Amino acid sequence: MITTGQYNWVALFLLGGACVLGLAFALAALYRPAARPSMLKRLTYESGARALGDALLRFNIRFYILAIVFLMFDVDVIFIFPWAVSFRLLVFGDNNIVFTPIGPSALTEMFVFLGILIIGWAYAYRKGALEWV
Amino acid sequence: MSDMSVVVSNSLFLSAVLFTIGVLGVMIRRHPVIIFMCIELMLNAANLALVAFNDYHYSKAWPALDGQVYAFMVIAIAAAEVAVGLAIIVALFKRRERVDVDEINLLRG
Amino acid sequence: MATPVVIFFSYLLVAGLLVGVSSLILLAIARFRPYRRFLATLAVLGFVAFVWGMCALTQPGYRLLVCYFWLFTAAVVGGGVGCVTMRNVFHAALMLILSLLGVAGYFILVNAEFLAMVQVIIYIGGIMVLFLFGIMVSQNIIGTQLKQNTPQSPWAAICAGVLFMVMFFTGLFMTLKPTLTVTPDVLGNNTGSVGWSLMATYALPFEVASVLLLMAMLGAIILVRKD
Repeated sequence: MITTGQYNWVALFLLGGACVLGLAFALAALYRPAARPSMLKRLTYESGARALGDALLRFNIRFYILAIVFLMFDVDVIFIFPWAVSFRLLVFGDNNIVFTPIGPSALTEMFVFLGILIIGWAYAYRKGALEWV
Repeated sequence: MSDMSVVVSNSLFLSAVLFTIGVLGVMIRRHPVIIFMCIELMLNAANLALVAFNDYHYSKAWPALDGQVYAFMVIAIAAAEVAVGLAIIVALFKRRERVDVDEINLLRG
Repeated sequence: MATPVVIFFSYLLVAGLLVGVSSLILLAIARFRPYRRFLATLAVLGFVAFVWGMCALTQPGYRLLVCYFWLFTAAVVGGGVGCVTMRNVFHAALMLILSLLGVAGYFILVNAEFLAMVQVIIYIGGIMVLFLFGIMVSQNIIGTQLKQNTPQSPWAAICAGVLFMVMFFTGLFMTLKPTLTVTPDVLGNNTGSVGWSLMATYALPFEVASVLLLMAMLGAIILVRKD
């Protein structure tokens, strides 16, 4: 494969991290005394406040609205990112001429995109979806 | 050469397997959220095939990334679809305590 | 490609990983407490063998690629099967995350680095978070006494089998003409190429996608708001 070669280092890094973790636990298992778990040791915060109830409870709906807004702006940013990476080549071309043939349209496209995005932001703002009530 | 064709030809079968798992999940499960997640699986299977074909046909004579752009659009549309669809499901759950997809038939003609 | 040295190191890698992981799992089980020194030594040896094999194989090689391929395939298929079969909705969502991570790794294998990043950021960081929130705001996860499967499971299995056969034989009889391999400098910057393609060829879908996202956001907020 072609570009996969440089990702070998990523894989090596991940696996090396896992190995270090495994080694640490294995070495600790060699030398530590046997664990005797008691009720007190199994608390979530052993020397803090007693946790009430379960983590798996019903959440408030406003978290969900925030998650929707987050997801939409997330996708918008992902759309902007490749434009930003190829911006120089798109607008100024290889040899630094002022505008490539698609340069002006590439600029205006992004401004139209951002304009539509701002409409959505304004709506979410006016409806109070961005506020924590 | 050989490694490239291995990955692409296997990727078609992987895509087929993933799509079948998604179809099976949509047909046999009852929970609306799980049905929705199985639809995501099917979208991912399609993305896999698109990107693999793009990689296979990429050459100096045709250095385009159309398949990747398609897959990118599919991901963006999946995000929009999930936002609206899950909002519908959450609204359903607000109206009644347990939701069974067989019971949601008010729109049936 | 597959010289005896490469084969030896790949077996070393797989065996080391298996031994290391299984002895770590055994270490965690209280029943094997008496053998813990032996197991810890085994785990250390296994992981050393694994790292050794990994280091020896870290060069563009066929074996390593196949290793990656099977790793990602296992993640994708295992996660998908788990997503369909898990009884708890929350666990099904977690299995789906595993499957999506496998797909992201697979995207790197087929030279789509930008899509791998998009997969992690949008799918796992956005869509799955939305799924988890949707599950958490809509029901108490512990008390799900819903009937899990529909009665038409056999028919569903038959339909899915036929569908899979169709796709399988389509793939089997599709003649993939070998194209020339690409030199690295042509592929170059994947993100920039996608951006160029998005701006030059797919300008209209780009704008339409933004309108679609706007509509989705407005619709979802209107649907969920309580008033």
